[in-house]
Amino acid sequence: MSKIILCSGPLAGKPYLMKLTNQHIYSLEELCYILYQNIYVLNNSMFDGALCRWLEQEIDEKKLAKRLDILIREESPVEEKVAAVLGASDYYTENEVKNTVYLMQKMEDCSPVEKWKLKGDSYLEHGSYAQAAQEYEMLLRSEEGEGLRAREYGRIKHNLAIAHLYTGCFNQAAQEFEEAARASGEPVSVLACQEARKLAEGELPEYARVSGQNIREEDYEELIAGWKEELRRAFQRK
Amino acid sequence: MEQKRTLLIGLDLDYDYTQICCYDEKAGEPVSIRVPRTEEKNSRFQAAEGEESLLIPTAIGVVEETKNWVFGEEALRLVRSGAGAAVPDLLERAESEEAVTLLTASFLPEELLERFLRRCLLLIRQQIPGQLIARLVITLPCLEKGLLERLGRALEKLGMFQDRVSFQSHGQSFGQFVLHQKREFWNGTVALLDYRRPGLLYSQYKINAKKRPALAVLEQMDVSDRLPCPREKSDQAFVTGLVQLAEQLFYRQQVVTVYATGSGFREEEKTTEALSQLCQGRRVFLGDNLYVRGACYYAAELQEHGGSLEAMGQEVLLLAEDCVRCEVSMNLFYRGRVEEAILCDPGMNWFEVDKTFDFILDETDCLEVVMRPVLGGTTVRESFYLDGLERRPRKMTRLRVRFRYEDRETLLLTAEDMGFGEWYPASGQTWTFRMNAGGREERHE
Repeated sequence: MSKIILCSGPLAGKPYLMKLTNQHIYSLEELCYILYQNIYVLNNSMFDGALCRWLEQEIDEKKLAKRLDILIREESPVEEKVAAVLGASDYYTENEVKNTVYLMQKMEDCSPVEKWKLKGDSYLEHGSYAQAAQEYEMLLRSEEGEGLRAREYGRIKHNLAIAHLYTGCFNQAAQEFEEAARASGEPVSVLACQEARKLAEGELPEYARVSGQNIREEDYEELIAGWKEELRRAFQRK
Repeated sequence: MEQKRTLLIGLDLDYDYTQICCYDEKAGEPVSIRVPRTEEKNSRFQAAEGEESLLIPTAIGVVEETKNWVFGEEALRLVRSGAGAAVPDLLERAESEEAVTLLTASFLPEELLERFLRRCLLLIRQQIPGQLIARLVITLPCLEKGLLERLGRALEKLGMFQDRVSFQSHGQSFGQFVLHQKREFWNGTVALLDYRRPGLLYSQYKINAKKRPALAVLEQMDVSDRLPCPREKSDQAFVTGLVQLAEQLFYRQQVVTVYATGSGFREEEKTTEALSQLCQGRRVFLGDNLYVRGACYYAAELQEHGGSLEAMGQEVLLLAEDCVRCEVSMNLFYRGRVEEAILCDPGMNWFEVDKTFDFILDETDCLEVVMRPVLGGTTVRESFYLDGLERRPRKMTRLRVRFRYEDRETLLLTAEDMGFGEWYPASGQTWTFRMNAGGREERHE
């Protein structure tokens, strides 16, 4: 749903340098964005006195600065600090903040590779298929990706294939499902590979075949939405 | 010792006289700043020589021999004695942009205003030493844009910037004065007879207590042509004429209180008899400092609420002639949900409304603005499209929108693309929209 978000404060006269991404930020909304995009690599060292001072002096977020300062002194877990920052702005909804915190808690004992995969999974879940594909591809090409076990490799390939499927790259998806099936031996990847091949050959799945006849233009969007839902069910994420 | 900004000042800059009040926080009342009189008494409210007066003639002059500037009565005396040059009608002159020649030099109206106000401020400092002005409210017979700009520039030269200075019309100050009286005095319609040089101005506040907040709407009428001429009529005929006129004005109104002010009442003794006849069934007050006291009350209110009229959470919403009568709102996502957020409250002078908000656009390029009149009437909803807005992913556009008024009815919106941090630099695109009950206009730069 489209909406207009009321910003919480002014733009900073002096920006804050986020060492994590080496970017300057000028507002609380930008800080939220950077944290949200990087939850898989966040750590406690990012939250320090300099950030509190910037929040207080530059963007008039006195309450948040105080809260963050207490959390720093109490050596609270990083997800609590992230929740405090995201919760101070309306840039992300309450659900998005809750999910983020949940994800961070879930990731506590994860290896860097698992965290990376979770990032891609999060994009996939929220429908950001291109970004999901990018994350999986980067992971598979990375140093960490070289040491993956076959089962883990297969799961990442499977999810990468789903991301490609949603972006219309059916051939590529079919090939990736095949690689996933070969690596992990999962029957679901085998099945998904067969379905993806049908799509690649222009054969619509059962649902689309039935409702695809005599489609009126105004029903097209609805049909696509329904079809995507069917796809979601058929190709379960690994 | 560091001087604290504690003084809350009301200043009535009128055509003939200027008055100053300082708010006494202990008493909760404005106290008039008095000036020593050196002239003979010429009205029944004025003090005699050697006594003190509340009234400072709104005049400025320069002594020919010493080239010293003088103000008030001294300036008027210069005119009479010919010992210098003076501007006895300073406010009238300041309403135009034309320069004024005094002796051999030419002065802009704002330069004369600056000199006059400097002496007024000096007078305050002399009487209340050791304290600085926290807030100054200047009340004027009418709020003309050019005059306000000239006054603003004059005050800035005196170090008094917008954050400490507000302007009110006499109508607004009257309203402030009324609301600071006992409630039974304004539990209905309150009338004001301002009998002065141009004639008789009738003002009334009708207070609608059924609304929340209660609404006090100002109505004004120049009834100078219906006023009997005191010179032509006998005392009795004048009194009867004035009473009849007042009763006509009060007809079918529940006038609970009548205030009388102005030089006419000061100078014409026979007006007292007319006022005493108007007392039947209502309270009548005769005074000379109603506007300046109202302005001073307003200064105290503003100070209490950090300079924001909107923070006052007023029990009664005063709607004088220049006050905005619509609330402006938008559906915004804030505090975790989409709500109609009131961005500009009614009750502010239209020329003082200047609010800026930053928004993040989430899959939209349209601003939907609502103007809802508080006095009833049609609510106007307009959708303003940001044509040509650079396409970016969701929530990657920060838009700065400024809300001002061009006149009491016309809202002026200017929107500016601020980009989003280092990801998307500001494009410099701006849009201008106008909105009122009648329609809209758009401009894209």
